[in-house]
Amino acid sequence: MLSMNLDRQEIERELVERARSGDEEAFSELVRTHRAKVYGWANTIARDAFLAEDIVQDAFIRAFLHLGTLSDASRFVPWLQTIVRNQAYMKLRRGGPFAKELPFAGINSDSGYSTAGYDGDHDAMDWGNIDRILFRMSHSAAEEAQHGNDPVKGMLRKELMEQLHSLLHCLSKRERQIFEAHFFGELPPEEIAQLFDTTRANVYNLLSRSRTKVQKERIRVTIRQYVRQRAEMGQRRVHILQSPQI
Amino acid sequence: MSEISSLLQKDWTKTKTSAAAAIHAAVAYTDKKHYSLVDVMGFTGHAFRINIDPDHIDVAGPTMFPGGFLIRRNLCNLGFISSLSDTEKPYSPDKVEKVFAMIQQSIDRGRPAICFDLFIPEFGLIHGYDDEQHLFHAKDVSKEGTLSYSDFVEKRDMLWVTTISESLPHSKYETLRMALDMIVEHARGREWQHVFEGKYVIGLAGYDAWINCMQLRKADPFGNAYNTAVISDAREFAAQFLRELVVRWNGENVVERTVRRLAAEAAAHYAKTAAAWVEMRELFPFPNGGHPEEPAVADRTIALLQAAKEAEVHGVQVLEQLLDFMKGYWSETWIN
Repeated sequence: MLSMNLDRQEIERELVERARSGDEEAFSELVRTHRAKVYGWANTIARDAFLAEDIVQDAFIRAFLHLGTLSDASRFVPWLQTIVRNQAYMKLRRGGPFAKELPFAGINSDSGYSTAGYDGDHDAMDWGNIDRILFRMSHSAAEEAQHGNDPVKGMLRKELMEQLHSLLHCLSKRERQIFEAHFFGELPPEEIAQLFDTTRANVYNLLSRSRTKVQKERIRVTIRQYVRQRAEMGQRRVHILQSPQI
Repeated sequence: MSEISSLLQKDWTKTKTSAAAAIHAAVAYTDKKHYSLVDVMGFTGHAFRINIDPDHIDVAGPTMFPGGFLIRRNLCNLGFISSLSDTEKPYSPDKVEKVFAMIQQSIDRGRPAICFDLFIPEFGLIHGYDDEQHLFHAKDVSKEGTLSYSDFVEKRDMLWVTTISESLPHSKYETLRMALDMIVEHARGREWQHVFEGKYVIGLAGYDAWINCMQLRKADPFGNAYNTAVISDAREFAAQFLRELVVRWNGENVVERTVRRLAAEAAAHYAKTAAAWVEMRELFPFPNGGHPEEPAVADRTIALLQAAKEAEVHGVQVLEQLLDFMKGYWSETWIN
C-alpha cells in the first residue's frame, strides 16, 4: 500500500515536471487524475453544480499557466487545492455565475488589494478584458467538453493551449513572471516588488508595459483564430472589389 | 459673373466633405448608383453643415460629429438599412471578430464598408480583404492601399465601421422630407451632438461662433483655412442641389410646383451664401492658410461671414417652409 502510494507520487511528480516544461499530454493526464477531486473541492464551497464546473475549468487553466511558479513538484495537489479555493471564493464574492463580467479591478478591491498607483479606470478596464478573455476561453472549452466525446480532451484542446501560450509568449521571462504573479497569483504589487527584489514603481511600470503587450498579442491571437475558422468553414479567402471612386 | 465662372469651373464629382464622398462612393456599388455626389451632399444634409470649434476654429471641426448616428441617418435618407460598429478600445476579442465579420460580409455582398481614419482622419472605404495575407484593401481621399488586420485594430481608439444593408424603396417625397428635416435640425442647432455638445457649435450659431473667434483674433490659420475649404465647397453643393431640385420636380401637381418654387427661392439665398464663402476661400487658401490674425483680413472675414449668415438665415426659413409643406404629402406620383 505504502509503496504503491510512493509510486503514484513519483509518477505524479514526473507528470508535473513534464507539464511544467510545456508538455500538454502530461498536463492532460494530471487533469484526468484530479478532475473529480477538484470538482469535489469546488462544489463543497460553491454548492452549485454549474458554478463548480466553472471553477474547475478556470482553476485548471490558471494552474496550467501558473505551473512554472510551483517550486516543489511534489506539492502539486495542495497547490492546486489553493488555486481552486481562491477561484471559488473569488467567484462567490463576485456574486456567483451571473457576475462573471466584472472587471478584474473589482476583484482586486474586493480582495483588499489596493489599486492605488494605477493610472485610473483605463487600466482597470484592461485587466477586465484580460480576465474576460480567460473566461471566454474556458467557456468555449467547456462547451466543447459538453458536446465532444472526450471531455478531458475537449477541455484541453490544442487550440486553447496555443492561445494561452501565445498570449504570454510575447513577454520577456521577467515580465511574464511578474505578470503571472500579479494576475494569476493575485499578489499585491508590494509583495511582488519584494519577491523580485525591485521597487513598487518598477512593478507598476512593468505591469503596465506587459499589459499593453498582452493586449496586442490577445488581438493578434483573436485575428489568427478568426481567419483560421473562416478557412476551416471554407469561406472565401480573398475578395477585393473594384477600386472605389472616392 | 464670377459666380457663374466658378460654377462652370466646379467639379461636381469631388468634395471636401469626406463623409459624403465615402457615402457616395459606397452607394455606387448598390442599386442606387444613380445618386450623384450633388444628390448625396444634399439628401444627407452634408452640403448644409457647419460644425465649428468656437475656441480657434480647429481643423478637426468638420468631422467632429457623432458619426454612427449621422452616417446611418444619412444612409436612411438615401434609402438604406445600415449596420454600425463603434466599439471603443480596449476591444474584447468577440467584438473584434464581429467587426471583421461585418466588413467581410459587406464586401461579400459587393459593398465596401465605410470607415474612419484609414490612412488620414477622414472617412474612407474598405473595399477588399485578404485572409491569406491578413490585409484589408482600402481607399480614402489621401490614398489607396492596404492595411494589416492587426494594424486596423491596434492603431485606432475606436473601430468605427458602417455597412450598407438592404436598399429600401423610398419615394422621392420621403427622401426630400427626411433630408429637409436633417438640414433644418442642424441649422437650428437641434441636431443630437452627443459628446460634442458644448464643444462644437453647429448650424447658424456656428457663424456667430466664427465671427466671435475672428473678433478675438484667435483663429488658427490652418484650421480656419480647412473649415473654410470644407464649408465653401459644401455651400456650392447646397445651391447646386437646390437648383437641380427645381429642374427635376416636374410641376404637374401642387407638390411638384411648390417644391420647384421654394427650392428656387432657397437656391438663390444659398448661392449668395456660397459666393461669400468662395470669397473667404480666396482669403484663406488651404493648406497655408493666409493671415486671419491681420486686423484688415479679420474684419473683411467678419463681413463675409455676416453676409453668408444673413443669406443662409433666409435660406433656412424657406427650407423650413418647404419641410412644413412636405409633411402633408406622402405619395410618389399624383395626377390631378
